[in-house]
Amino acid sequence: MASRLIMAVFFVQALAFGAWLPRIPDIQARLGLSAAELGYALLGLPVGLLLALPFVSIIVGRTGGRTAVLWSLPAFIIAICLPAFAPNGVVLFLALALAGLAMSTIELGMNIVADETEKRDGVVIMSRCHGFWSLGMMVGSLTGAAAAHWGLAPQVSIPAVAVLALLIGPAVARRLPRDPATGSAGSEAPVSGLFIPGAIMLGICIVALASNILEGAAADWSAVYLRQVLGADPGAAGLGYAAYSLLMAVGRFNGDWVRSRWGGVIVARACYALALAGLLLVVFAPDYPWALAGFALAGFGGSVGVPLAVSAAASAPGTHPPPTWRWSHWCRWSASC
Amino acid sequence: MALVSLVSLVGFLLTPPIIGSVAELFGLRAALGGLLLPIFIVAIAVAFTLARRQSAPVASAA
Repeated sequence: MASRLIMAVFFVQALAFGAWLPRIPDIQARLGLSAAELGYALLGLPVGLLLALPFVSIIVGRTGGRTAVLWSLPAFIIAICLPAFAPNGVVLFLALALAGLAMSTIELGMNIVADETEKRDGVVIMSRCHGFWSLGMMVGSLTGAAAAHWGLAPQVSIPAVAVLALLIGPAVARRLPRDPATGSAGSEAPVSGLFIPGAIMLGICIVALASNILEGAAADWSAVYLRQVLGADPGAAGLGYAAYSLLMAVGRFNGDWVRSRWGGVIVARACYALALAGLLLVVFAPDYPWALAGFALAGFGGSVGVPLAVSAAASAPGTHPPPTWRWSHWCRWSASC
Repeated sequence: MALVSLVSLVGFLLTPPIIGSVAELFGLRAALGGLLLPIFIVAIAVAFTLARRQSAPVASAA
């Protein structure tokens, strides 16, 4: 039961987030931002995430995952509505930074609850949880794309999805099992000192970096690209990230099974080749359908890249034991985002 | 693992402004192609090299 509840929380959080992404071109047009100005405004979300990182780890470590989810889920859902109302690029940056602050907490909290559920119930659900996250992104993107197609303003469509998420999310989160007694996490040794990464670790970092850059580019720029470069209508432009998320969810739902059957090396090679093929399709697409297929292929190819990189990093020679549960959850978080 | 996580976050952080700035100069198609394709080709080359290194001891042991 707890497994289903936390999967539902992953889904609802992504649903609210996904509704924002296809509306980026509308907000760009409304505010009259150039591509560079939009790029700097979009920087707000990761800046908020990064600023919150050290504090959130400590706070969530004290409160526990369920408590963090209980208050940060509604906070994030409300915060992700704010960018739609921004009157200029600076306020858009600040609104996104605020959403990033809330996002860091909810992402960490969800992953902790999922991990605790795995340990308590003896089940393996992390990959499926992230699959539901991708599924939520897809459904959210589809609602955003539909709203754009019907000419609904972002100030209406994003809060409408948020209201739905607020009705479901907190109600589900309240039914999550209570946090285990705090202290066990804090008793682990803190990370200290710097180390010079070896060639293998640097290589793994490059692989993870490429996957995340692909994900970030697809999330922030797919709708703008399809609309401005390939002339897609507003609704169709939003389908780019929906296709990416759908195939990413498919890849993650089947990732564990495929990896156990063929091994990480073959899966990594195949997936990166597919992602590259998808990327080539996107970049050289003569028209919209080719680019859409490219985004879908890139999503499938990128689905297991970071999880495989994290696993490889964990088992690389010379790697320390998992430093703290907080960092391991951040690794899993970056795999999902 | 922490380093992988941090590098991933940095990638996530830098993607929007870099693509935006390059798109301003050369267009969005060129920005996506010019930035993402080289990074991905390097990543694939690295992934293949890592896979070879990791599988080499296994093969020799077998």
